[in-house]
Amino acid sequence: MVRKRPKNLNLLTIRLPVPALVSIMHRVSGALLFLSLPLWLLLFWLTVSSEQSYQLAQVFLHSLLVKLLLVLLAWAFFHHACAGIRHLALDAHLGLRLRYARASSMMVLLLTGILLISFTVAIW
Amino acid sequence: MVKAGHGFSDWAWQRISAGLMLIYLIMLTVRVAIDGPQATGDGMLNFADWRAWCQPMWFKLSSLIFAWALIYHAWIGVKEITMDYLHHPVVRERVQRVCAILSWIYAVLILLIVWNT
Repeated sequence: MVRKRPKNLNLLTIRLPVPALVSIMHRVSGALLFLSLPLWLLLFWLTVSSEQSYQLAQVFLHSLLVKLLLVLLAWAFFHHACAGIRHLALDAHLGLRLRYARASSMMVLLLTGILLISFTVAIW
Repeated sequence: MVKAGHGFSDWAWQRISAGLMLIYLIMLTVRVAIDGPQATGDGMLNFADWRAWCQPMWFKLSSLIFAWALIYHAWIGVKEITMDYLHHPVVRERVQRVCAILSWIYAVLILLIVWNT
């Protein structure tokens, strides 16, 4: 007997629970950070290798596009770090109950927001 | 393909590397707070000050360990993501190989950069 199961593939009507949202964003931010590794290597190398390259890095860092990119990557870093610390706590069996898992997910989002706003204000 | 039985060590190393990075980041935050790179003169940080700040041997060594922990952590993450989303074995193998080579290149480059600082 073939059972007809209800299907709902409309992404706009699927509500992702907050812990699931934090989890998938942990992955997305991790992938983004991996892709950004050459940029960090290049930037660090420019700042420490010579006076000229240091100046070049400064010009580079002051451009609008790079600043916007930095804000995106800062989001990825803050989210990944906060969600990662939450994961370590879960591994230690801290906050496993649904209520706490939801609350800590909200805290990750909140803390990431605060850190990101502070970072953005600081670089502008 | 990843051989069976490597799952636990990947899981453990991902957490060990995360812990190392966390310790370094806390240390870095403390250092920036109490002994940040000092700007002399016009208020802008200059090359010599910044480079000098990066030069203590303990700082270079811990930064290198941080960078390597990060690269290894990222590599484990990439492996996990490719195993979940790339179902074609040849495609997955290729993407993993490219990412592995990139990771090695990054690991050597950061060693050279820190060495020459």
